[in-house]
Amino acid sequence: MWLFPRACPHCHQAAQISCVIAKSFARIFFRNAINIGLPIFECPEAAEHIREGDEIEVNLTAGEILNHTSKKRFKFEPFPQEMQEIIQAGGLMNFVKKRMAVV
Amino acid sequence: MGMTITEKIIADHSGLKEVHPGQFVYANVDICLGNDITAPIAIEEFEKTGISKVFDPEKVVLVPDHFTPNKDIKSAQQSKILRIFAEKHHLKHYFEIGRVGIEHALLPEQGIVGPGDLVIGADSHTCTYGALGAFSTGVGSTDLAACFATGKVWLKVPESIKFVFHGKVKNWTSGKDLILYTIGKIGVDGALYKAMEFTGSAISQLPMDDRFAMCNMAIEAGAKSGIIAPDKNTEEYIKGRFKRKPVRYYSDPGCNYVSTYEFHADEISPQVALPSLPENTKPVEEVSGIKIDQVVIGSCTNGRISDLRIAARFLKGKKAHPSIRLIIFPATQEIYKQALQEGLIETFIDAEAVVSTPTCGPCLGGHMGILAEGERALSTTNRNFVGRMGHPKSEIYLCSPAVAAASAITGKITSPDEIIRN
Repeated sequence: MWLFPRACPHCHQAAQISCVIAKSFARIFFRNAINIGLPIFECPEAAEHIREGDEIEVNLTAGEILNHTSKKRFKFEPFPQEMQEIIQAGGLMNFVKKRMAVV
Repeated sequence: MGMTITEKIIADHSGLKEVHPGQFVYANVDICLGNDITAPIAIEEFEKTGISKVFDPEKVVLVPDHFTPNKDIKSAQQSKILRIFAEKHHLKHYFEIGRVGIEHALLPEQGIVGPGDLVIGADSHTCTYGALGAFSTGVGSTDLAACFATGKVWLKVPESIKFVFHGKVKNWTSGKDLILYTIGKIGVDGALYKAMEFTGSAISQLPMDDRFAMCNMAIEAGAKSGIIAPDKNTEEYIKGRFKRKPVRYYSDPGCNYVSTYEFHADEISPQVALPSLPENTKPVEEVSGIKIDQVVIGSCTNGRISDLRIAARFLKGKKAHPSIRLIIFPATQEIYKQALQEGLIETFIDAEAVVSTPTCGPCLGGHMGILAEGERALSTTNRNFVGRMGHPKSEIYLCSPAVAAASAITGKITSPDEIIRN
């Protein structure tokens, strides 16, 4: 047994962080982040390269991070359509509500 | 490039021909599970969506096993939430008191899970069902709530680690000892988020109950899942239980493992994990003589019929040491009844053990055998973290049913060989 903590990703969201890029995440943090609609990506190269103040664009479908400041591009595992929709809907349960309403 | 058994199951459930480790998928779920601790949160989340039906009343399983029979008002309230939800949605697999057992022993026994399934459960030991050749993993209550509605879950395909056990297990060594030994070698984060695939001649010869114990503890090495490819033992086990069509998957030759470990089963003694991590393992002969207060035999790891039979072999005609409190809890009603018919329960009572109804209680320090300050338990359960079974200053040693039963007689950690030469 036990319950999985949900507090951490909520703090990021409350701080108005629009996305998180890191070398890796703990599984629970990763699941909870996606499930509350916080975009979160594992990309060791980007995490290493990006500096404070850089302007970053993330393409979920292509699995690409573009650093507008340095003009560099980085690849990450793209999310399937449904995971993109989870993020766009603002979390897993919102996504479920939308999806089941359509069906 | 070939695929592992885990990758094949995930690919087939995601409508994909091929998947690779690290890939994200949106997969169909065969069975989803919640218990009296995790399901109430999932139910609340589900109800908030306003969706009126679960995706399939035969595939949503609710097992109130942690604080049942309800130990207090709070736990009774929790169970009530499950009961009402099960009735409202006509769930086929809801288990009321008198039918309920410990979830990870109950689902395989009742044929609810089987080979080739993709299973999620809001409980970390959901990885147990990998013993049947299924992909099975623990998730949070929100994932479960979403699955209630959609029958789907998003997943990251794990990398696989292969564990080959050569030779044959000797004497009193069991599946529990193989997994404790493995965790001792690789550490509690040794398989972090990965699939542990157990193979080799020693595994082929291992009975199903031992395989369940091994896959059950994959999470204790940080793994996402544990898995054993189905074989004749699996077939025999599911016969007459599993009503759906089993799908048998096998790893391709040349598939990709992130690492491979090779062990010689005949060199592995019964193991004991010292406080307070499952990785603190030592062969029993190196720790024998440590005095204990309570011996616990049972749980989703080692509360199955063969575990009880082993315990009874030691306890037959003997008494638990006067300083020992011996608690035995069969994992399900069916196991309990079988043990009764075989005379095992009488053996336990004659040995001055208390035999408890099936419940997770003692394992998680919930109820039915809490430790006081400074007390020491030797237990066949799966976790020996600080305070897991009671007071933060109590200690837990983990072991197999053979070591537990042998030690119950002497009052101190004892090698099974000292009591019965096998």
